[in-house]
Amino acid sequence: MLMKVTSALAPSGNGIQAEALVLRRVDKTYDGVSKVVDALDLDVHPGEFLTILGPSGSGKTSLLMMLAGFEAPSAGTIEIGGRDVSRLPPYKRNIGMVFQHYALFPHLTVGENLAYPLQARGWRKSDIAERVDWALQLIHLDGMQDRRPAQLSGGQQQRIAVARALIYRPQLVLMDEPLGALDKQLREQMQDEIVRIHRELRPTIVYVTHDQSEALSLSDRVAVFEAGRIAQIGTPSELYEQPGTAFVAGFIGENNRITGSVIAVTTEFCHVRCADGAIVEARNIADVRIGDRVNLAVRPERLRPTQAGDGSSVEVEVADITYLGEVSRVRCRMRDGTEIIWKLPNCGQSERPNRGATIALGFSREDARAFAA
Amino acid sequence: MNAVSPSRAGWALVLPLVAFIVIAFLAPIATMLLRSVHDPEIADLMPRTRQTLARWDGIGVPQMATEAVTADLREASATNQIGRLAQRLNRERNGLRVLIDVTARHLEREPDTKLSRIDPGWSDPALWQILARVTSPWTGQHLLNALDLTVTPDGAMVRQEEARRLYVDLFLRTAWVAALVTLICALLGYPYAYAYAMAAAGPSLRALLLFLVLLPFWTSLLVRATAWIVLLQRRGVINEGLLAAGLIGETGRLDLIYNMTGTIIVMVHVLLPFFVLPLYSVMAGLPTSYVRASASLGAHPVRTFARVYLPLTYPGVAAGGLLVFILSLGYYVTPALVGGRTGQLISNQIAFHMQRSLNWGLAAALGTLLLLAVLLLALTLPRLAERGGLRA
Ligand SMILES: Nc1ncnc2c1ncn2[C@@H]1O[C@H](COP(=O)(O)OP(=O)(O)OP(=O)(O)O)[C@@H](O)[C@H]1O
Ligand SMILES: [Mg+2]
Repeated sequence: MLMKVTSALAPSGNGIQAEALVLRRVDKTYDGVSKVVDALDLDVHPGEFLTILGPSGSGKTSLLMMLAGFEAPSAGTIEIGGRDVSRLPPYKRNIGMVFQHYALFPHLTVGENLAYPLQARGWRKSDIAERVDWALQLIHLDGMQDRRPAQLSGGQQQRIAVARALIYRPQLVLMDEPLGALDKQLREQMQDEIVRIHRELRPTIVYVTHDQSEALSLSDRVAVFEAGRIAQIGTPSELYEQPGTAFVAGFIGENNRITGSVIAVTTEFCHVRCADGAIVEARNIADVRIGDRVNLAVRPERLRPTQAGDGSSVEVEVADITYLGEVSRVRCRMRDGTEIIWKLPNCGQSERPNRGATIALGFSREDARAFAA
Repeated sequence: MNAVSPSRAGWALVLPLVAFIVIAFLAPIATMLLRSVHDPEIADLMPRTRQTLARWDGIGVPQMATEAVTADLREASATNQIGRLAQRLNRERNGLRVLIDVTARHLEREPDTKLSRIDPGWSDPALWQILARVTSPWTGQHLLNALDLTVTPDGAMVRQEEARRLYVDLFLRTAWVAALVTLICALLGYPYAYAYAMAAAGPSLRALLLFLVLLPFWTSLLVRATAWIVLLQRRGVINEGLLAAGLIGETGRLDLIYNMTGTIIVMVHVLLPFFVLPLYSVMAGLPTSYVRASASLGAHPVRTFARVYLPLTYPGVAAGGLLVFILSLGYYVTPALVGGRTGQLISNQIAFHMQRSLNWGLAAALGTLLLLAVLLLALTLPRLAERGGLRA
């Protein structure tokens, strides 16, 4: 009784809508020793598309399983829509879930698959029929309700799976690598489809992937996972432009990594002597001090040819050039052997360097970021 | 390089097995099928009668055949085959044994007596019709017998008289017992396989469950039957236990063995692994994502089980059930050991005709019908199950 009242009041409590999902110090360990998810704090806003991005084994699926209720957190609390669900079984959580291999029920027709969650909620027959039609229109598969899943293409099956997870308008939709089983072209098509559906219905989505381009193109925010912790969370452009750690800098997009040591520090910037002796200026991200060893991260597309000694620049020898259409990818080597990638836009008249030539590549101090090594 | 074409090599590899199957399996079955409709025994004993009656129009008493019968009976007495012939003919109609014996003995004394003088039975047209039928080596008689049918002298097919009806009931009883055994196996085996397939059961429990299923395979059928006798007999472990617990009185001892109850209990025990193993393999191959998807969509575990898990494991139930049912239909050893008088099935009757009554034709006919029933089931049931949408 009391719980009902509080949960009913919670969203309008003080004029602010409750967060769609709140995690507080959530731990997960399977063997009691290693933490697969480690003291995780996370807030997801209503209607937000949040992507969990991380390398294999970083604990993404484990996190999702806890959100869905298939695994219990070893410690901490999980709230969905202001309600503590940490000890609630999956079927009481009112979430939607899309699995990597669709998990459409093979013995039921498309229509029956879509009706399944509505029947489980005790809807009336006429309402169910209406809603199933609505869902089929949403995914542009009208007239397919009498087919079996096996009679559909992979992309169609995945659309049905998405519609099935959304049909009862759950507070939270979880997707674990839903496009992992599709080929590249279909994957891009489905990404657009998911973005469109998200715009139309505005469900809160927590999306797991280890494909960074997918994460950047789909999400409002991305949480980069590293060994059970969030290394950084932010909008795609924040993560790309302002990676907060060397791991994120290396994981999101391509980044050159130049090692060196700090020789001077100002508030925002620092001077670094690279391993080959060149002195360059970079943003001081990690509060480094004079004498610290640092890694500089510089995007390949932010490099430009320059004269040696002019601003921040490094001298490199061109190792090879790969023509990629809109850009050429130039692989270079610094004198100490550090590999530098330079992406050179192919806009007509720009001249391409010769293999074996020695050139200077410069960058502005805003484009180089110094992390403690 | 020695050029042996792959298909030739393939044939060479399967040849031993094909030869074995033909010799040990197909040939005996073909012989059995043939024997159920081909019975040259009487035709061989009465070659002249057979020839004459083959030309007979079937009306009245065929005077032209009496001499042939006389000659055949005399030869049969001379070669000591009269006993066999008399017994064989008696199967067609009670009383023929006496008629043949009497006639043969009379002919030994007075070889030229007319048959109708020896015994008025020879003037009965019905007798001659029987003779015409049984002297033909091709007969539907055994199949009719196996179905409790008979042909009246005027050629109509009717049911046997009440007291001689035996096999249809036995077939029905066998089917019923097979169905019951299958049902019990399903009720016991499904939860068992389910527990085994659940990851939550833990590795040590799983090993134990598998061991218990496989144990019967490693123990001799005879040993198991004996063990059941020890348990179930009137002075066996269970009755003594119930007595000691005060649940039954000395007069209330339960008849658990040497009847149909015993047959069913022991058959369930023997056949349970055949249900559990195919079912388990289906369950183990079912991805957990279906059950999880159902739960994530808001379905209570009971609904998940009824609407998702159970339908997706039907192929295993169908496979296991069909296997158990078909094996039960032809089960012989267990009823023979623990079935007593009332717990016998059709196979025991077949064995009886093969070993005791030596009526191989009837045994073959019963076997043929059983084979047809099993084939029909094996061909139609999986298709029915598929039409019912039970594919995974
Ligand atoms: N049920 C389980 N029992 C024990 N350990 C597990 C279990 N599930 C996952 N792990 C371990 O937890 C760690 C994280 O696994 P998880 O599946 O969450 O990674 P992931 O980020 O989803 O990886 P991927 O991108 O490969 O799917 C791994 O080291 C894995 O071995
Ligand atoms: Mg995973």
